[in-house]
Amino acid sequence: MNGSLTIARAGLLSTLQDRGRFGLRHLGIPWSGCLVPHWQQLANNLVRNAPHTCVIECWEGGLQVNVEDHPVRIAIAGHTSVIASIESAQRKISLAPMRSYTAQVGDTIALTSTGNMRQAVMAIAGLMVEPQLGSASTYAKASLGGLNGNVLQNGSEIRFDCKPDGPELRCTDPLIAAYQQTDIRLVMGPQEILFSKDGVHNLLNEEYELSSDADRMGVRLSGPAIFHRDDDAKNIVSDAIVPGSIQVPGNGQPIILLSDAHTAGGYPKVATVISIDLPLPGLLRAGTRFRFRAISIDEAIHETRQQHELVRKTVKNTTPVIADSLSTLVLLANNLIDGVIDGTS
Amino acid sequence: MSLPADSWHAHYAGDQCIVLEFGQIIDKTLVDSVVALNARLTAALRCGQITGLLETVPTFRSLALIYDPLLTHPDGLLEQVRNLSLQAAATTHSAARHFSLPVHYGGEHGPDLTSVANLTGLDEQEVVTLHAQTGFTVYMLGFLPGFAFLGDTPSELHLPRLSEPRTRVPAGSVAIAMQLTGIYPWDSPGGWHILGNCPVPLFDGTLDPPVLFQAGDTVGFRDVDTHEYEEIADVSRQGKFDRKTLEQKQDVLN
Repeated sequence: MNGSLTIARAGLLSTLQDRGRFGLRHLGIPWSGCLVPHWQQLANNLVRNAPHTCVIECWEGGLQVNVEDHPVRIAIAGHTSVIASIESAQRKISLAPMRSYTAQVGDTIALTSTGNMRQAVMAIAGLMVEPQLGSASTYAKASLGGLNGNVLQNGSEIRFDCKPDGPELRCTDPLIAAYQQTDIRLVMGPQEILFSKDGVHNLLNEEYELSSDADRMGVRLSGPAIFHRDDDAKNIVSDAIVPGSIQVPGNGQPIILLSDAHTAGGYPKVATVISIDLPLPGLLRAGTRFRFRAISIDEAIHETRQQHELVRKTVKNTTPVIADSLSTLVLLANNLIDGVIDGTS
Repeated sequence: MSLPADSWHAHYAGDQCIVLEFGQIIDKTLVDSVVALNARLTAALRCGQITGLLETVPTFRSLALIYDPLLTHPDGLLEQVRNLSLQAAATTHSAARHFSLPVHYGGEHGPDLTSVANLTGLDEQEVVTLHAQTGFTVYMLGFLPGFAFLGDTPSELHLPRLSEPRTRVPAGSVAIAMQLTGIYPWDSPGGWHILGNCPVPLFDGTLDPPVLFQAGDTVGFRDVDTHEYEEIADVSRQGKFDRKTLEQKQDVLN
């Protein structure tokens, strides 16, 4: 069985992303990949996809997907404030994140708003996207991955090969507490030596605010300047960049680099956000303020391993949604819904 | 070529990267050291000899090692790297390849040739001859996917970047700034002096690897006339250009 979905509205920025395209940084090709890796993993798991399957990463919302010829199972991973629905002429079901749903032919799946976060992801059971150079992740700057190297457009067609089967699944987001985090952990370096004592002091003691200038390449922050040691230290001979690098250009205002960042650059990097905290600066809303906290490399490795273990356990820990079809029928029969059923009830 | 382990300093770059820094300047001997260690590590990586190492990123001045923090601690990784680089290697086949690239210098494809001639006090043909006679080394790729930084440009042609960068430099542009020559695989903004254009596909996402060069390869430019340029450009546009024809076989023993 081979079904198709039409992207009726692509919204602000919707791209297909899997874990990323690895092994090509030496050619200047970034990893790309989902900015919130555990969401990609959980959403895929809820629709019984292999963990590396790509998902739609949606910025802000405005995504509408029409189900053309076969029923399809989907799951959204995002903040609890996500607004999403499955809608047809006859019904409208509100969708909760971290749960699968089945949409019927003629339905429109809408990810209207990503809520309090800048992104959410949607997994589609059996989504088929041809990988390019080892990954289906979209990197439009080099026309790699996605659909013909591009971000999703109004009218794009995506295909899936999976018949909805078995009960719907739900899970809890193991990192829900992390979204309340007021500090972002980093490891100092690689070029901390190019910054003044006062500059490093500011980095580690003052508050920084996320700006609205954010995309898959990086996010700018504003706060007390992270001073360079001297003018010569404001530019360096190009050095490698990784997602998490905190670049500081001459104005002293930091930029945290994300999945699509260039592989090398000429601004010194005072520190590097640890991988498990890296989703936060990309996710949290402009205006959010937080502090950076330096931890040792040992602590960083330890924390990363702990978190991966936590996510691994959550992935195993899905529960079937038993009462769902019954409650829907009951509500329909009693005409209580007036358009909306809370899918989590 | 064996590399003393103390020729670099290691710096943590988060919990998935450690940077081996060889220096802070652009200098061919630094690049050679980076490329040599990279070749050693890449070979070991392919054989699965280094636990947790995922990929390496050579730059002018450093070699970044990307690792899986679930499999290794960067200090353990460094230990493995030190042991490898201290092993006396007999002879290793260099992975470097040589490419000869057609370039049409000047005219609409090289809008800065005249100003470069004026700024350097040479005539246009002298600039072209100097540039096309130089044997370049790919120092690194970056800035854009597949963008090659080549060095060294002859000292007579060293110029600072344009004071006003262009908003669009066409794909294929061969341009100079300071001691470097760059080849733009994509249309992009850029502040270098454009000498000419190379009509071959420099980045092709349908090929693996998609990029023609890697750090350490050597490159020469061949001055071609408009007629030949258009012929090659036509074949490239049709997607029929065979990149293998650019590679000149050589067998280098280090």
